[in-house]
Amino acid sequence: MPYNIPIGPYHPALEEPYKITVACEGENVQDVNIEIGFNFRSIELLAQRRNYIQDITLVERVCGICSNVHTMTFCMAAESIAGIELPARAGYIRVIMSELERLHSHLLWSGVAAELIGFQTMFMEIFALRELVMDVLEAISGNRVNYAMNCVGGVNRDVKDPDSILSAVRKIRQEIERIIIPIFTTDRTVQARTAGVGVLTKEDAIAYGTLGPTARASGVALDLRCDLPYAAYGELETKSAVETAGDVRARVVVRALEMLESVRLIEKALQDLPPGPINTGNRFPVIPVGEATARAEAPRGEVIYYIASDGSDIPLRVKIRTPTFMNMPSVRAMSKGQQLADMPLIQASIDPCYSCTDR
Amino acid sequence: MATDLKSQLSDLPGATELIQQRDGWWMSAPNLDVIETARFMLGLEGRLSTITAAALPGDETEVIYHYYFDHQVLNFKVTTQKNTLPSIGSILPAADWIEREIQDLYKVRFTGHPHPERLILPAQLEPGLFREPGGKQKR
Repeated sequence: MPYNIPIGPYHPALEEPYKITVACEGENVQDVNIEIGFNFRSIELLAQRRNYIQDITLVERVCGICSNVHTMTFCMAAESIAGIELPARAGYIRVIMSELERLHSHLLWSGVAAELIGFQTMFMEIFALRELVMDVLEAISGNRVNYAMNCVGGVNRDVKDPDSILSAVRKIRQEIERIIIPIFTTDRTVQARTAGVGVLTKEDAIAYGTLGPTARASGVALDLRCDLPYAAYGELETKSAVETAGDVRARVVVRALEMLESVRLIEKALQDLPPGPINTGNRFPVIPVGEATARAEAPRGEVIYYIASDGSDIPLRVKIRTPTFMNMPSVRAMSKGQQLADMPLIQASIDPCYSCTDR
Repeated sequence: MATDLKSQLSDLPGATELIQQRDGWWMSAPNLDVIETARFMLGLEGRLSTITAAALPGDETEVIYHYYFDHQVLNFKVTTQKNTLPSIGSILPAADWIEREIQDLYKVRFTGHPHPERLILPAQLEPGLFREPGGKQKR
């Protein structure tokens, strides 16, 4: 007889609230229904009550993992309306921060995935490695979570000692090559637990509008760093990782390869860091009447900001589209016909972030 | 943008001129047929990025459909009629949650939505919470 299993809104593994109701026939998943909104904060509405400077601080709190990409994309939208050109050095620093953020986010997810797979030693190794990335972020910005790096027209802080950062990043690369890549790409335990599980076809990935590593693991070669380069990505030439199997293993492999690419981009950006100013020098730029969208490739996929301005210091409208908002509905397509015991791993395989989704 | 694509987009029911801006292509077409546009974009393997709503004076809402196709961003700006628009959720599953969120926050009704339940707004709050104006009126 078919039955429903409600899971959530509070989960022991993922410390964010959402509810998923799994309809089963025996051990076989027939359908799932996902409910969100448990962490709704009205950030878009609050942003329409504050000025642009205050909004940068506000949107940094949309997500506790990818906080930098939110301030950067907000600033990019405002810069687009105002016609502000980013100084070259600021573009490189934005890339360094974005890729460090991707690294720590992917490592966080890898640790959670290792735990869900039942690979506890891997979890501990990964979280120890993630601390090295957090140390680099702290060395550059002074902060571990909300970095306060972006301003309209550039960045707030310079990378003052690129050589010491470069040496720390090289150590991180060695550890990724030693631990992450061999285990996530060839280990038999990981393969047995992830291959053929939670398949998302390319057609479904497009129809659901999935993004980031979730889309790239289903053969959708979508990466804004290559397709619509921003900051200094055009000069650094990103190589996007794409797999076609569409299963959990493909998502694991894509993220593992992306970590290597992030390290390469950080190293290249530090080596090529151009001299010059890090912002336009105008901390209170006037945003004229207009509207613009800005897109950036966050660790989980494309983030979009839309800003409409009436020429005052308070935006008329701020719209935030986060990647999990698009990726989570596709879990329905991934889950049908799967084993109930695989549901935690399938949900986690999109690297969900409900703080972002609920805003 | 390729000339034939531009011409095909201009032939959509209710379409107006496409204008290139710094962040992509924009079409301000209050009466654009959003269903035909969704079908056309799906046929191209275009992707619905999101939909933005913004309250207009009175009870209507400006709704912007943001698509992505072949390294290009396409934005179609339409206006609701009696704060209602046809749902594209049955054509593009990507629109399902987006339309439900707009229904919660701007009280826009999407006719034909496969399951128009609340998505994000807590039960104790009234729909239309985001219709409050921002900008200089907030100073």
